[in-house]
Amino acid sequence: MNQKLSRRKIADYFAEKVLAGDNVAGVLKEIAAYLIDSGRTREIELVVRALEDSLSSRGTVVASVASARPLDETMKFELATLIGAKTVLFRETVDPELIGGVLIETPQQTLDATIKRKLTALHGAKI
Amino acid sequence: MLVPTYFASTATEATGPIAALGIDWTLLVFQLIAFSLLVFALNKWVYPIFIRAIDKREAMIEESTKAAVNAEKNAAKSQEETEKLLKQARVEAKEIVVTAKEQAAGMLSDAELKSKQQAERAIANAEDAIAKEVIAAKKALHNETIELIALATEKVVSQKVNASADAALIKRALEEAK
Repeated sequence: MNQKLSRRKIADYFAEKVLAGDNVAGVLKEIAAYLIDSGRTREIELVVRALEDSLSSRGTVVASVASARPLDETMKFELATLIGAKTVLFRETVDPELIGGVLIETPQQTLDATIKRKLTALHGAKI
Repeated sequence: MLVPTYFASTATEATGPIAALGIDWTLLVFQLIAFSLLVFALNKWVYPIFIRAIDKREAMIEESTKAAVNAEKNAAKSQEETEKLLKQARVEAKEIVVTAKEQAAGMLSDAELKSKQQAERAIANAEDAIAKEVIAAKKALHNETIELIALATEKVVSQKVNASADAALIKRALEEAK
């Protein structure tokens, strides 16, 4: 019988696999295959988010980090320290339009310290 | 020969004192009778006609006089009434003129008041519109200034921010976030 699993259960299952040391890319392929097979491709983003939440609750945080230039290891360490999790997995993006600074997004919080955000705030000061 | 002449001619033949006076009794009696007949005839047929005519005339005259007096009285009365009406008309005309003047003055003052109020409203509207335009211009200036500042900042910062400056910026942001 083909029973529909909840996103939470799927996320927990794959989180255990990631934490067990499985290749993240492989795990993601498995998730994609499962969703295609069960006809739930529209839920991909929600499942990934649930996976991140599940990992976060197990002490592993997936942080999306965007910056104008690639971050060096020292910077990543400081970021991990700031996030304060046992393990931090970075999903890095380089976006020159940010001009400078860094944008960090975790399941729990967001820190936008980019120059682009400040310029946007300046634009928002219009009346 | 005529009778009187006959009697006159016969009278001269009488004698006595009366005859001396030239009076002939026969003739006198005859004349008295003739005169009486005449008077009688006149009283009987002529005088009544004249008297009636005179009475009638008198009555007419009296009537005319009365009518004239009445007419005069009526004329005087009507003149009085006319004068009274004229006086009343003059008074009413004066009142009408005074009322008309008052109404005209009232209308004039009303018109002045209205035009003054309209002018004040127009001035207030114009001032309001000017104030709004000033505010809009200030806003536009403010926004344009911000836009220019943002553009200039973006250009300057884009050129000035290098890798080390970016790293320092990130480090400071992380420290502030702690």
